[in-house]
Formats: sequence, structure tokens, C-alpha cells
Amino acid sequence: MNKIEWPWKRKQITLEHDLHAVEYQLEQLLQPVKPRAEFVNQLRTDLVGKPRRKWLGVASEGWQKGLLVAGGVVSFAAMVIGGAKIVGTILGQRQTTKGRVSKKAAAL
Amino acid sequence: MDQELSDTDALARAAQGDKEAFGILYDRYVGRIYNYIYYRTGNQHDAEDLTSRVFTRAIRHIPKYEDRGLPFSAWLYRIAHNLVANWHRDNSRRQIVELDESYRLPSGQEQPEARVVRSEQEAVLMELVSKLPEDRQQLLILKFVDHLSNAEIGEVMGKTEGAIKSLYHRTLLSLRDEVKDLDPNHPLLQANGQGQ
Repeated sequence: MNKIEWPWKRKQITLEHDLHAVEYQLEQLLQPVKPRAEFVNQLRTDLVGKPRRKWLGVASEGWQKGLLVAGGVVSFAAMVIGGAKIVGTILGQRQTTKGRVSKKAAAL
Repeated sequence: MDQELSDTDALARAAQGDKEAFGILYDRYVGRIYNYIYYRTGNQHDAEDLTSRVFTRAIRHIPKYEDRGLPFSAWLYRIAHNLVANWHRDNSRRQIVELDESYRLPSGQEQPEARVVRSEQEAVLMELVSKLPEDRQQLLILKFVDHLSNAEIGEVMGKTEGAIKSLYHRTLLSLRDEVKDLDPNHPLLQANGQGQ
């Protein structure tokens, strides 16, 4: 048996339909608009200044920055000391080799 | 600076003068504030101008910001609302908000004739919306453009959730009556999202 649409209910159904229709049209109409990227970026710069550069993806803030700098200094010092030792070892070996050659020559 | 900083923490730091913290808040809300102002003014130029003023005012007054239990966004919307109200007052000689040509660009995939018809329907509805009282316009924009819930809208507008629901219902009724006054068989009242 078909559902009976009573006259006093018909007005309510029509009203709901109309309100849904208006709501649907508002959803289609009122959609977000993206502001211009240049405007957004320029305003940000004007308000807070240029963004700080991130070093290797780490924000340069407080203790993180200190740790990064300390690590860099220690690494650099280690490289310099290590390099100096290598050079010193190579030079030392050459001198030792030269000394042995001189002694042999003297023996002959 | 951690982008996952909460509004409360970012606000506390910004109030101490941390500009990067304010930058985080700016990134979060500039789109929403711009949209609100754009739909209230109807053109890009004024929307950009007023958006700049909102955030300039915000950064200037943030050291005096008092936490009253409302979200930070509610404060920004309040500033935006006041600036837009002043803008309307200064432009009160205009009966209708003039709309950018690009205000509502029709879909590129429609037939030209359908596109023109849809644009006309949208223009009619937009004009009706622009003639609504300020609080109803604000409600529609926060609901449909910024996708805020009724509870969030209530916080922004200083009303209860129930009051917002009631205001929304009355707004829809008002728009529907305006459209019916224009034409009882207006296409706006035929569209229901099905097969559209």
C-alpha cells in the first residue's frame, strides 16, 4: 500500500524540501576562496619578518642551535687533529725510510 | 618553532614578543579570516586590505590579550567583524555589495548556456545573502565557507549552540521566502543535490 501523503503534512514536506534546496544552493555558492600566495607571504614578512633558515631541517632555536654549533666545532677540530696526525705519520715514515737508506749506503 | 604548537602555547609565546609564534597563528588563520572578509566585502582588494589590518591589529594588541575561555580564532573574527562593519558604514552609499568579476567563477565543464543560468542563479542568491542582517551573513559564512560547527560558531558570535541553530533555521526560512517572492517556481527551489 502506498504511503498516504496527508494534506496537513504536505505543507511541512514542501517546506523541508525548500529549505534543503536553499541549503544545497548555499553549499554550492559559499565555497572557500584561496587568497593570493604573494599577498599571504608578503603580509607574513611584514608582520613577523623573513622566516629563519632551517639548518638541515632542524629549526635554529635555543639548545638545538647550540648543539648543532658545538657538534660542528668538535667535528671540525677532530678533522684538523686527525688530518695533522695523518700528515705527521706520513712525514715520519718518509724520514725513517730516508734514514734507513742512508745507513745502508754508509754500510756499503 | 614546532608547527604543532597549540594555539594557547603559541599565544603565550607571541604575547611575550615571539614573532615566530605569531607567525604560526597567522599561518593557521589567515585563510579563514580572508574568506570571511572576502564574502562580507565581495572583492579581493578590500579583502586583502582588511585582512592585513586584522593581523596588524592582532599583533599590536596581543600582549594585552586576555584569555576569557574563548578560542583565539573568536578574537580574530571579532576584530574582522568590527573592521568589516566599519567598512560597510564607510561604504553605506552602496546599496549592493559590488562583486568582483571573478567572485564566483562557473565550472569549466558545463555547457555555456548552463553556465550562464547557474551564474544568474548564484548571483540572485548572493545578492539575497548580501542583504541579510550582519549576524546572519556571518553565520552563513562561518558555516559554509569556514566549515565551523554550530558550537564553534556560537563561540565566535557569543551565542549558545541552540541560538545558532535557531538563527540558522530562521535564515534559511528568510532566504526561501525571498526567493519565493521573486518566483514561486524559481530553479533555486528545485535544486536538491540529486542528479545535479
